[in-house]
Amino acid sequence: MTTIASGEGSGGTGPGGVPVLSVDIGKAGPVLSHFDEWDEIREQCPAFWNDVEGGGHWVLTRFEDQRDTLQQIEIFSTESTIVSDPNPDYMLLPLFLDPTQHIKYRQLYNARFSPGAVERLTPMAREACRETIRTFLDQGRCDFIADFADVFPTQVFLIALGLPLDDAPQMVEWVRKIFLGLAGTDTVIAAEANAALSDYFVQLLDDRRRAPRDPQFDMVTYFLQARIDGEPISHEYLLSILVTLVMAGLDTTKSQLGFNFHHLATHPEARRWMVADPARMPAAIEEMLRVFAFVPPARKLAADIDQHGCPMKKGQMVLMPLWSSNRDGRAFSNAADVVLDRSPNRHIAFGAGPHRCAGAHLARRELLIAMEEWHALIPDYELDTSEPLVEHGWQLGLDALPLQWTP
Amino acid sequence: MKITVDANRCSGQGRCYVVSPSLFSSDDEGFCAERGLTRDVPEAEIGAARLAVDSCPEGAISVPE
Repeated sequence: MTTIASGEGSGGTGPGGVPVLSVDIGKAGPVLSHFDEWDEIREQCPAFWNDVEGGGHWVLTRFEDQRDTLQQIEIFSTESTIVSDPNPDYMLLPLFLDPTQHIKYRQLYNARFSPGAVERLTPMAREACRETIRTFLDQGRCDFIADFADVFPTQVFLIALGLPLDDAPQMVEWVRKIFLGLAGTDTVIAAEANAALSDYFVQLLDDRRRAPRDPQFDMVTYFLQARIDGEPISHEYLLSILVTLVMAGLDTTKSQLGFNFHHLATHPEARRWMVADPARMPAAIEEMLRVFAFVPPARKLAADIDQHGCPMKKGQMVLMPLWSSNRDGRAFSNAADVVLDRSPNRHIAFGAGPHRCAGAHLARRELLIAMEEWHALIPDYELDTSEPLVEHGWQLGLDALPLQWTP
Repeated sequence: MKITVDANRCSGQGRCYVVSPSLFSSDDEGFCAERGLTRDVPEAEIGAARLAVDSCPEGAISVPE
């Protein structure tokens, strides 16, 4: 068969006659390069063994297979979701919990991130969005990633938790440093930022223990007062819950905003069509969620199972890049095209099954607010660089997006 | 025509009540409030029903024979 992977060790077949490739999803590349690469891989292989440094893992590339796998949480567990680390010594909550415990914690989240909850925080989020855009509006240029996509999701996070927006600049800095560390850069600075973020939450937890606030608005109090099986949540778990919210909710929305505005900046006709009637924006956002899906969830086999032609063994990891499944022509016609009024659109950009992204409703509202408020102030804009834009790997995203417009 | 939502499959993706609000609504947690139910679909809502079936990423909505 044709080998289209990068790196060494690819070609040939592995266990069960499944193809062996060697694909590094962590590598950086030109914008949209991962999407293009996997459009090819998916058509060659529904499943393969990925032989990479430090071991290997299964990969599923197609929509139905990924969807079915994500729905089977008993077999494909979230004991670890880090493909390079099947035995992490930390807990991302509630993700890593076993199914019986997970659902109890998940109920706490759902109430706070429901469509109703999202509706209630929309006015403050909208105002924060406008203020952020006004910080660079008159300059006629910005780095959309650093000046907007890093900032607005952080502001919404603070609003959702009932924390002061004044904390935003500090949190933006910590998160920037933490994620640079995850990419392998400046790991010492990242460790310091991690410690500072943890400390910030420890102080909040201490404060709210001494002086609880209204749990309807103050999420720290809400989790402090929550009961699981009649018991309060441990300090360790509380800290993990808060840190995981940061890790899960900021970099993701940032990535999506980057891809959305990159597309709109480079496709002026589509942008004008959408802006001409803002009622078109929700469907346009769903399509951009689909075609620029950027998260690669992984699962750990809790048992041996033969599925998708793969003899999977307990303890092995399965990687499911969502950009591969969401552009699968078996599930979507013209799957690689950005069809802003696509209907129906049953994408799994937010995953599937019980671990469906808890922040999906909030994410959608953030993306819509950004779309509405940005284009109300800056309807026409274009790239402000002829340099090639870089897309980092793992959770895909643009490193920078210089834009310019007439103020 | 009848329409049913598999309560075990519904994960609160939130598509049904956005694309077909005449037939579906959200509960306090974002799940389909009508999950677990099988209901008759009025003639005028058949289009909305089929759209919801095709829009659920989990494949939780179906039209039983």
